[in-house]
Amino acid sequence: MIQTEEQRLIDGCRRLDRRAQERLFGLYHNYVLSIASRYADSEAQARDILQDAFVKMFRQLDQYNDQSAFKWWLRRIVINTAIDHWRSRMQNPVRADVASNETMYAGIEPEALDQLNTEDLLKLVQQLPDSYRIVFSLHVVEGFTHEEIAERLGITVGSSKSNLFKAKARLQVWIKEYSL
Amino acid sequence: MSMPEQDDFFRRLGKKLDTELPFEQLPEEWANVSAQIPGKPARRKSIWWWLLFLLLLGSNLAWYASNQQLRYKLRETTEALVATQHINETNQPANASISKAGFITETPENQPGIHEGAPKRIKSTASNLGLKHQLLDPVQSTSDTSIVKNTPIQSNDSVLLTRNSTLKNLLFTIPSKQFFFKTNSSLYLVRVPYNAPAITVQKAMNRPGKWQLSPSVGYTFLKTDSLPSTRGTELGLNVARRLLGDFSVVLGVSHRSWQFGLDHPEPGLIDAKDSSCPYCPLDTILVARKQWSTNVSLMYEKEITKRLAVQLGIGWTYVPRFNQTVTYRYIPVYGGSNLTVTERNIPVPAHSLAHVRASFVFPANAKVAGFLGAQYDVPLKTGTVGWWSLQAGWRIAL
Repeated sequence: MIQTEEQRLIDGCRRLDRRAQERLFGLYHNYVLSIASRYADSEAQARDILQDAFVKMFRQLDQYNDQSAFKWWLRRIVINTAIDHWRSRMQNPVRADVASNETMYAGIEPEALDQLNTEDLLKLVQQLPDSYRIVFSLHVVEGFTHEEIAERLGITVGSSKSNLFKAKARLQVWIKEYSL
Repeated sequence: MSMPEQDDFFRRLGKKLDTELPFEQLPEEWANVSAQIPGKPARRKSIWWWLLFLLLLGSNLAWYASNQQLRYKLRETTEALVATQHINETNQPANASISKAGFITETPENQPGIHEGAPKRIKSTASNLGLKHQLLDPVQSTSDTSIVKNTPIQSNDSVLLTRNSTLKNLLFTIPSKQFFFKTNSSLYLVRVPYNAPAITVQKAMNRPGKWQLSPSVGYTFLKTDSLPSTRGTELGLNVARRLLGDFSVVLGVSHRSWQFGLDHPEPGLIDAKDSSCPYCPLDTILVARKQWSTNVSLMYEKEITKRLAVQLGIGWTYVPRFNQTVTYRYIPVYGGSNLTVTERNIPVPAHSLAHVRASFVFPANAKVAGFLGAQYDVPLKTGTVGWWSLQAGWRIAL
């Protein structure tokens, strides 16, 4: 079977070929940084997540099963790394966020979303508090359930739901303001 | 917004966020990552392959250049021989020479000084070439190439190149395959196939001033196991088996189909009947062959784009014994009549060749891909000058 460029690079990385490592890094740089940006409050923080995620990926490459898609395997590593970063940033994330009081803004038009490009939307997400943002990204983008989020973040299901609700409420307000 | 509308709103929002964005890659990012993971310096294998390729190319060019030089020297010798005889006969400057293409052409009469000092040139050029130049008594059989007389060249003597190992080795590399020289009464055709084990001297009648060979004189070719030259296109089916990294072993079946140009029938490929045209060295001969071969190559493949890859490789080609269909068409230049020989079945002995090849493969990495390239073959048995062929076909990856 003809190997893909990706498979060749992975094989090279397993042989610790520095050139293959660098090419694999370049190949998935934007992909990883795009994911990391959804969990970070700034580009600098996203780039920190990126570096740690790649280090993890190269060290764990022997555990990668060639039968599954490499991209999804890498995605899981990036998300786990982002969660690790969130844990290290947060002293007491759950209570701090739950203490906030938000209400869902119902006056926004569905078409308001079309007026934002992805970069603008990302900037709004990055303005959310850390605990709101991570729950929001895990649920809305990655599709995790509240139970899974609670387990991964070490919070209660109620906190997960609450943070998501508040994140959505804030984003709706900001998107409405942006579209006006 | 109602709850379903809100759900849809955030579903779309999530999808929009899940997009790969363009970011600038900072140099320190890779530096930081690579500092934290083990790695070996990149191998320089590609450089070695390029060096090997350049070496092969260089040696081939050098070979070609030396062939050209030999050809020039031999032509010079021949011209000198012809000129000497002409001077001896008429005491006039030569009115004939051999053109670059190997044709005998006439030159203006009474052109002074062209071939002055020619006898000296014969000696020096022949010596430089390592040829023994000898006297040949005109009454002796000109087909006896073993006659050796260590007598200096006389003004009215003919010169015959001898059949010895030095000469044989030398003549193997002559691209033109044959050349002529003249005595005071006859014109001798020296036929030198690419890989003939010896040379044949052919006697033909000379008509002064016309420099034309007589078609009535038959001649024989040496029977050899020489390989047919196979310039031309080649169609093939290759089966590639991917090995480690960028290398693969390619098993192929090729069909060489068309060959054109100033080619020449090999010894043994034309019988006495067809030899009524002794001008074939002067003629344009269109040759078409049908021949199958198999090959095995070790290929280095480099992806240029997602759609195109380049392959470089070395390998071995095997041509099994079979009756080869060959079509010849002669277009005489000097005298004679059109002679067309079509669909000759020529038994070709089994033989093998070494080859280097370069191909473009498209689409890159596809299971079934086309290829287009060129191959250079060298006969392994004789190790003589090889030939290029164009290739087109398809590849199936296992």
